[in-house]
Amino acid sequence: MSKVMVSLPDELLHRIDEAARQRSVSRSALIAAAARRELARRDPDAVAAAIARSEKRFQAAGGFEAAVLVRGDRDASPR
Amino acid sequence: MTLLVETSVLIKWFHSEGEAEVAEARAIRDAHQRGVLNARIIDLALYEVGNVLLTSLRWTASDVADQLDDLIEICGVPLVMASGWLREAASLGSTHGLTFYDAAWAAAAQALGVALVSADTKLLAAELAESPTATTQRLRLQQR
Repeated sequence: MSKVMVSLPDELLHRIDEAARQRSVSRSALIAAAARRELARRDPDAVAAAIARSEKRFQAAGGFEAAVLVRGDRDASPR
Repeated sequence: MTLLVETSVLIKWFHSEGEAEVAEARAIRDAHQRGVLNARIIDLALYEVGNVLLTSLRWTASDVADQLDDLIEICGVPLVMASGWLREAASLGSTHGLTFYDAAWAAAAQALGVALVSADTKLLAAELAESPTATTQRLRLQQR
């Protein structure tokens, strides 16, 4: 486990410490969790492109209610 | 804030014609895109979306595969049902008279301790999920 020195605004550090206290975790654990969450975020440009491609594909799909199709699929599955 | 987004809502993210609650579903999608919330899916979503596209909408194999790739790009790698979740799914399905597919969604959400967002009438009637409208109101998500 590496130790690092980082600079944070006092107000942010105060909020981090308060949140860590409320959650009964260490300051390091809280910051590590936040960093993991940030790193897990999808690439915004890639997500936007995937959404655009998806909307384009569905444009020609016609009219239907997704919940009805999914329900039909679940209920029709072999038992 | 993490949400588990069920198949019926995922499709509304991209499809509009004939759909109810499109604006609400898109508000959830947009919040996920902005990083305001984290929308997750379980692996069952891929099978259900794939089945709808292939058998109900009769998309080409290539389009189905491309759409599933894009779904993973948008939501990340789906969660896999753990053994304890499957046990809970069996219990929920039996208790509420649901298919195992329905119950799997509910069990996963309960195991994760997150809300399940669904437009499915059976899951909503069993109070195992909340509608896109309820989610957007609860989280005060902006609609376009």
